[in-house]
Amino acid sequence: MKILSLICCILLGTVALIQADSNADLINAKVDRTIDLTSHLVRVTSLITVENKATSGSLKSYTYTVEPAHAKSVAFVGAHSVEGKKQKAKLNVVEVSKDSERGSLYRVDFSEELSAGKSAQIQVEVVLFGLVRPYPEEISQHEKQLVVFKGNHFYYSLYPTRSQTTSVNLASDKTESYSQLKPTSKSDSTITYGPYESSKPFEQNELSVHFENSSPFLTVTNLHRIIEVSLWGNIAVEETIDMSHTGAKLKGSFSRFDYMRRQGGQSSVKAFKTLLPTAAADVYYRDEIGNISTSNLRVPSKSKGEPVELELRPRFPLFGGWKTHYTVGYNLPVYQYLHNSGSNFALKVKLLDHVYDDQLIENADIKIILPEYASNIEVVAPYKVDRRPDQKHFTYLDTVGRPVVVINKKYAVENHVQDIKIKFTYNKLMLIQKPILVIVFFFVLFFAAILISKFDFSIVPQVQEHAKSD
Amino acid sequence: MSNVTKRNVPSATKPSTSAAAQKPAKQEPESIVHSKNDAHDPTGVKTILIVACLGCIWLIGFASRLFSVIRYESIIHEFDPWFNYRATYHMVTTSFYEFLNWFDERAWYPLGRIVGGTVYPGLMITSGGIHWLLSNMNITIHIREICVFLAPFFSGLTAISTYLLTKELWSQGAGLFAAAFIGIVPGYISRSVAGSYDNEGIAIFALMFTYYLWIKSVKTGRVFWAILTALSYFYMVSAWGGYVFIINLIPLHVFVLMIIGRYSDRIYVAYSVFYIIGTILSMQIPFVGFQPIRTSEHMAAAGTFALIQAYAFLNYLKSKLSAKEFRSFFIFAVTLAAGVVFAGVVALTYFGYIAPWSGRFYSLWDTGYAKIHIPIITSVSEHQPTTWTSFFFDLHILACIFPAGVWFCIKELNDERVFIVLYAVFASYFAGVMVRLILTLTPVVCILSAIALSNLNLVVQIIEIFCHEINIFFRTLEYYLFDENIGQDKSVDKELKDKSQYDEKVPRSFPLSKPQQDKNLNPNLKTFVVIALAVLLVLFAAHCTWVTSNAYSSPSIVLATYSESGQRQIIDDFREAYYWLRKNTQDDARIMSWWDYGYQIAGMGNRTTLVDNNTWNNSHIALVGKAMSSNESEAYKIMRELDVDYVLVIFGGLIGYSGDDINKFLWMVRIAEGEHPKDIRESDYFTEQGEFRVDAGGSKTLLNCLMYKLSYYRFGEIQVDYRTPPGFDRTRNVEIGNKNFKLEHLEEAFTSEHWIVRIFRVKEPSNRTPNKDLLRKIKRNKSVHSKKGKKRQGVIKNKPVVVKGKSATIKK
Repeated sequence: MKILSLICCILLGTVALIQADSNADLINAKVDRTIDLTSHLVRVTSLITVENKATSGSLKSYTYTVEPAHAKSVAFVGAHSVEGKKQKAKLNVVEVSKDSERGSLYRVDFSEELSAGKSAQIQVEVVLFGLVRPYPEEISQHEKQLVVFKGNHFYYSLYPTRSQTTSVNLASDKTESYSQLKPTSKSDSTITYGPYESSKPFEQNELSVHFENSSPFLTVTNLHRIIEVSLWGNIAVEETIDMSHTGAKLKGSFSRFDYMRRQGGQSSVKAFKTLLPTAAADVYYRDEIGNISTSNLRVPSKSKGEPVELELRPRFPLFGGWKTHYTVGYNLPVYQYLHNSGSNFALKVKLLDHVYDDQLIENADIKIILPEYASNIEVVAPYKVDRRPDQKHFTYLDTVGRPVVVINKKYAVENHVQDIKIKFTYNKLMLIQKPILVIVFFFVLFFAAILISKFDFSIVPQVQEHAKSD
Repeated sequence: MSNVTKRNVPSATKPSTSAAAQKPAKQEPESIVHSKNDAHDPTGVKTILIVACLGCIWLIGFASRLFSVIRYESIIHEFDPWFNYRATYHMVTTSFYEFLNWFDERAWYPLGRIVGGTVYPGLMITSGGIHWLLSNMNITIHIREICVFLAPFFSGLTAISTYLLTKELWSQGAGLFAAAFIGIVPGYISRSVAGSYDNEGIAIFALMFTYYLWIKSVKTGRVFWAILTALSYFYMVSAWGGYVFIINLIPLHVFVLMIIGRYSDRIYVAYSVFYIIGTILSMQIPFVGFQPIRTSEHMAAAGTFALIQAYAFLNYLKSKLSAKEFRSFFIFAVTLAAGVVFAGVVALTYFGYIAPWSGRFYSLWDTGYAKIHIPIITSVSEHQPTTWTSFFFDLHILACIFPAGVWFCIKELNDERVFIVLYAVFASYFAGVMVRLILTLTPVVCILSAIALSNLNLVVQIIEIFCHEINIFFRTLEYYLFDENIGQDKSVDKELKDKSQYDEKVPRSFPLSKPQQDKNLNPNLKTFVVIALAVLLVLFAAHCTWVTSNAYSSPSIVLATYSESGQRQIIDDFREAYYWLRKNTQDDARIMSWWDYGYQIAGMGNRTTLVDNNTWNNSHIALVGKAMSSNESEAYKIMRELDVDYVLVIFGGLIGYSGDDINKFLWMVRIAEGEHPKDIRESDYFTEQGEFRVDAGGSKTLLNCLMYKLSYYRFGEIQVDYRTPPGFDRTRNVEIGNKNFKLEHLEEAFTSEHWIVRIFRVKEPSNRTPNKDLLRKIKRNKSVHSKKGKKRQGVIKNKPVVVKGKSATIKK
């Protein structure tokens, strides 16, 4: 009985939700959708012209829907309002619900309310991971990597759509097959579907593309980022990264001879670029067994504000299914990232940073180590993150330990490279605590040494021994 | 000393004998002045100076060992240090007891290794202890950095203990010289550069410190110092197998002191206390266990202990008995005691209670022993006999100066100087037997050279005496040439006459009065000697730096080459391949390689190895050697038996790296032949002319063995240079003999960038053996199936139709 009532409640709730967010008066007047499949991530950019058909009352938000098959693969959803062809204000996006029937619903708040009869243009960008699957799953060294993507021919929406087109950008013009729903056309590496007229809400029709994609299918399976702030002028950043090539697995042998002659192995990763902050200095790149000697650092002129480019070559080329692990670290000057008024400090650093282009980080653990005696810590994250209980960290001359803010984030992509703000209070007098500690220690040490040397602790007086030995 | 001048030569020598007679009288007070000076230091300036000097020596010693860190990085070098590092890491990440009980299943597959019971744990405990201390003080330093910098750090402590020892032996000045020498001498640096994380790094410190404490206890005869000696000895035992050197040298010292009549109660106390406590302590190390009472290496110490007890007892009796009674008793007692001890040791050895000398120990006495019986010992380069050049290379000018120090010590002999002389004699012998034992010779060379150099006055005197001798020689010559009647000593006479044939034109008017002037030191001569020695020392320092920088500062797992434009290029193939193993093979993968790389694979690759540098099981190594030297299908059988997943070979032919497996291959064959003489014969791998060649003229067995095939797999297709044919081996400068072959049971899994490391995967056995010999196979099948004539079951495709009188053809 209880279960039944629970189900009833849920059903009722769902219905209520649908009614609440369906905004039956809204309509997608025109949708231009671009599905970008050039990398291992899927970027769906939809330019939507929203029309409020109601006769009265204005609307605050638009609901963006991700189809059920893709609901679990969403890494990022972002929206902008568009006027003409320019992106304007960034819009607030909130995840409303996720279920297996309708997919995930995201509420996009308009910058200004959409009044009756008016229309507005918004652009929604969605980044999806794990949908470009290698097929076949195993290839030998000289074979090329083929991938398959399955999607929807129609723009999946809560609202009816009047007119829509979809273009699919592929990594190469070589396709094995692609689904057709007329009108469909292919030129070079772009397949265009549509325009399709007046489709219903939640309409689905499977889109499938099987094509060649040799772009690096790199995935960071684990990222451990430590940001250590010292008020003596330095921020030390260290990232420990577990990386694997998630493309088609290498079958059979790896022949260095063929690799040297550049026969095959196009989908393997020889090197990639990591962008570090402009002020980064003392960069190191190493792993458990020492320095990785195959890297190049390009330092741009400081004034231009370009990032420091670090070309990383793993010890060995990464083929499908191969893994590697490394650590990159650098120092930053504190004045660019830490601001204060009196004893109130605010730290503004990147929560996640660039690892490689089109990055996918499956699991990121971020630790921000604040100075000892920092208190009243307040974290303002740029997006939803999982904050774990604070920890203590002990390092040079610490007595009570430094507070550590621990943050976890799953499935991060390049769009997540944003600043986090951490506010704390710190009494500046505490800066001299450590020098005093050292001075007192040495004073006591030398004083004890003086005392010991002045007193004779021996049972037999020492003088006699000298006389004897002479 | 005096017999140098006491020759039967005429009156002209008189002044010099008087000088010689004066000298001992002069020196006695001089050495007392030395020790008085040592103690006399009211203002403390001298102490500060000495502390400052030792500090500088420590700093310089530390700094000059950092070449490899600056040129490459902070990294563990070579082979054995990787095991030590791995063991230390294991201890630091788990616990001390976990380390003592560690059963390493990643080594010696399928046997495994009980690490806690088969290592000298001193090194790991030292660095683990430092790490523990620092981490408790919240100094977050990685254990690798401690391991890398441990040996340079300990070189400073070695310098200080050398200073202390030399100070006890001679004077503070000599001590400072000795400390400075040991700080930079290449013979010691070779084992203690940053990254060379090996037992010797801390053991030399323990050695010198034990000797210092021993000398101190001999001098004072106090239980306190003797116990400290035992404790220091305990540390040495925990650190290095070379402790056997201490436990034989100290008894020898005691024994010699007794023989030359320098026995005293001080020595009795020192040795008795040291032996008892030291032995008990040394038995606490699991690896040593009962060895101190059960092996021949330790019997000298036990025998000396028994002897000194007997000697002390006799001494006691001597005070009670009359002289005559004592003499007869003495002879009887000594004969009996010696006989009983000797017979006891022989009997115990015979019945197996005492192990006879181990092979490595034998090879110290009989240098040909290892070559015949244990090829694995000879195969290690550091076990080769020492050449003269390496003495000069490692010791430079000190090798020439130190005999003078021995001479000084003998001239002014006392209890402790007997020790250093014995040390010098034995260490010189051992250093001549094995290259690596130059290490134990180095400290004594430093000490004795320092003693020699700190006696500049004496040096000047020697040179003067030398001048005298020349003077006397010419005078004698004159004398014999022009005054032939007085020929007392025939031999001298004859000898001089022989020489006189060539020296007839010696000027007659030789300055007669010169010897008298030489009584006082000639200031010019002194200046000259000082300048000459200073120049020598400068050259010595330059040589040390040069040797350290060029010979001993390469980590050997990272190589550097210089391109034509002078640009440095790092060759990092070893780590590339080991890291690939670490990340991209299954966790329990078993890697077969030659034993040299066992520790590195375990340390950097973190994978199971079959054999490694702890070469305790010769037959297992021989089995791997056999697999490497057999042909592919034979090797496959062995590899299946041993559950091998990957085979790793080192190949230098592409870039000309000479330390590769093909160059080591003959050792594999030899060691395999030792255990499997029926299957492997060294002569098969040579050509008829007895050459070892990998080109087309090489022996068939060599060109088809597994090692050859794995090294040169697909190498025949590569053309490195336009001037050379494809498949040109740059290490051996030949075109390889067997080019186009396929591997049947293995496949290439990984090859590093410059092909130095090649890893092959051992394939699973295929379901069906491919039918190579098609005709014969089908004939046999036919005989099975064709019995029923046309009603036979099954159809054979491409069945050959055999018609009598015609050759078999296959039906199309």
